[in-house]
Amino acid sequence: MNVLDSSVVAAIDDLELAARLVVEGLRSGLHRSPFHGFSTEFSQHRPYQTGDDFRHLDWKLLARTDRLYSRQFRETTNMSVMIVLDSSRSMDFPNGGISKFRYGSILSAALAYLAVNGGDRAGLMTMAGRQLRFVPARGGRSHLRALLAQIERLSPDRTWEPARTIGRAADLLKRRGLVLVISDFYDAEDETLRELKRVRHRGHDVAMLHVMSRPELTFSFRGAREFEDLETGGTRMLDAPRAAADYRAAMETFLDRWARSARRDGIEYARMVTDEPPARALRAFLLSRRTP
Amino acid sequence: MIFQNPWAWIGAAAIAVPILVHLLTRQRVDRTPFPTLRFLPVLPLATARRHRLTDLALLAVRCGVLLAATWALAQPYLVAAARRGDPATARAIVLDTSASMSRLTGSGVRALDEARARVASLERGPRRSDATTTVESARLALGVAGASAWLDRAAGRRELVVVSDFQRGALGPGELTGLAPDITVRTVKIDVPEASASKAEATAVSVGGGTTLVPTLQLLPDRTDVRWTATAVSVMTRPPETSIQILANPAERPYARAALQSAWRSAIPLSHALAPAIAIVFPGAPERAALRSAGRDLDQRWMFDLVASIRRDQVVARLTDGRPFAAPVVAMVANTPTLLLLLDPADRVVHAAVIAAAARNLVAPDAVEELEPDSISPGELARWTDPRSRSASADARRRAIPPDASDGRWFWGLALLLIGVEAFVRRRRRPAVEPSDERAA
Repeated sequence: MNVLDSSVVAAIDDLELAARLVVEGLRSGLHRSPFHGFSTEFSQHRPYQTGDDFRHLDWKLLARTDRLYSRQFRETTNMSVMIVLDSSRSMDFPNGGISKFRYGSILSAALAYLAVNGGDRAGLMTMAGRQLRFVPARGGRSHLRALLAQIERLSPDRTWEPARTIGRAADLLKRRGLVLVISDFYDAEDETLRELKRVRHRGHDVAMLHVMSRPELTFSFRGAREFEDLETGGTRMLDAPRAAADYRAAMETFLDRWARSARRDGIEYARMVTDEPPARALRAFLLSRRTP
Repeated sequence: MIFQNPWAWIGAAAIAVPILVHLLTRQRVDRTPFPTLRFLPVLPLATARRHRLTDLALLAVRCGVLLAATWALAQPYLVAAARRGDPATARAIVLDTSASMSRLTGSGVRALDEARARVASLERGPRRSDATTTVESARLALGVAGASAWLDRAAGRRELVVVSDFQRGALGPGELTGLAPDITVRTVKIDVPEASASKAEATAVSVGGGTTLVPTLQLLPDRTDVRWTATAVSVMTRPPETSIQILANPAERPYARAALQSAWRSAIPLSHALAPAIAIVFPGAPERAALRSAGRDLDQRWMFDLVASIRRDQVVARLTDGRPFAAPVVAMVANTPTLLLLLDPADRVVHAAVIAAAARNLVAPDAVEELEPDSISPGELARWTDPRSRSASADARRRAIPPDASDGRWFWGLALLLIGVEAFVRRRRRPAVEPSDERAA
């Protein structure tokens, strides 16, 4: 599989092209819609045929009729995928190379591309300033272009309200779908987690793509620096090497907390680092969805 | 501290360079945008303060390097107490033992005694390693000449100290101008009140029979009074307090007294602790036979000098055929080796002449003048003495410095040490690196 480096993909101004390249990079092994799998509806029984998956055998029917039947499921070809993209200022990091927001944008575009081309519907929910901006989940190429154009118009600005954004995105899904949140999840952790759980309990699938950059993971800064919070404007001056150990420990705790909380509440979780090729990162995520 | 190359201090202006460099390139803390400060520990002030301190420390070290190098180039020489009494310092002290030093100071102490106390303190000196010699002389000019000869053979710093009451005529500027230019001259004046009366004890006269006449001279500005005191102590047992003793029997007493009084008119022998002891023995002195039999040959130079000078004396020479007394001998009188002049039974005028000649040759011929109370004023004395002696001027101190001596090596070492410290401090201030440079593979 030939995947493009994230810096190469990020350098492509045309988001649609970038999304297509990413999707083509991960399409191998994904023969059918990656958004399906265990989220299907029962359709009918048919007599067991050699090669059927034993998991689909209806054992109750076997007990009643003494005959083997396989369950057939109807694939929801018009699965709705609502992509929630964090466009707060904290995503506009780092300055050099590919930022988390750009990476998230590419992921969003690639996922939308994948969904629409797979016959599913894709939508977008984000917050610009204090206003929610959304694109309803629809299919079709023209809708895809409009959605990609909307993503391209976005730029990191201020902070956002993740709980409100996620909740509204779920509200706009008419039927059971997938709410896919792409963020660094720095803001309002508890509220966000509660909302994610609530959305999950409403029957939707919830997935978290936790986007981080390498510098904020390793914190390999040197010398004295004055760090400025991108969202609040607050500053803190310290000796970076002296603070590195404490920072990394706190970051590790933060990431681990999110991963455990997500797993505990049945939320899909994937950590993606901006120096990893988007195709590879998405592929790993999508393949992991296959595994029950 | 003395600087042998003071012009090198112009280089101290170079200290402005690190100050300018510090002001222009002072490290500013970069501001780094970061997604969130949540995970950053709270260590604000110490860090900033550390860098501010490091900057100042670096500046101080750099200035210190330049300062130490400039100091070293100025060739410093630390004139410490240990070095002030450098082993190379040679000090010659001339002590005036002339007649005028027997006068009393304002505190009632004899001037000579006070002078000796001053000499003792000078001999102790600031350092034990000082080479010091003391020349005692009744003639200051001769003493200075002798001290100068000793200093000519000394190395390093050289100093001449003259301790005297500085009677007018005792020392003139001419005696000092002949000294080598690098010899420091100091004068220690023993102050004696000019109007005070002086007392002096002159030679006692033993007239036999256990009687000793002691004349006491009181010297006043306009006259000299003489008072005789008789003591009933045998001259044979009492240690001589005077230079000349006259041994005679009672019959010869008048002649002895007259001869002595005649001698006073030409000379006033004064008491000197170190003056030699002589005895003029009249023919009838009861101790004569015993002393003569116990006598031995002369064995000191001054004895020969005195005998020769008496025989050469004009008055004595005219009165005699050159043999005014029998062969002189040395005998113990009151446990003191004493030169005996044994007067022959001859003309008593000769006896008087011998006594007078002995007195004249034993004491300074101008003893009367030495008792002149007029002394050199301090201001005049200061003009005579070398100006270098007033204080250790920088020129004198510089000349006193050995040619190759310099403490600059210590400051060069300090400069090298500070260069190492500067490199260490500078390494601790590594510049920050942008996070994009740290991307992992």
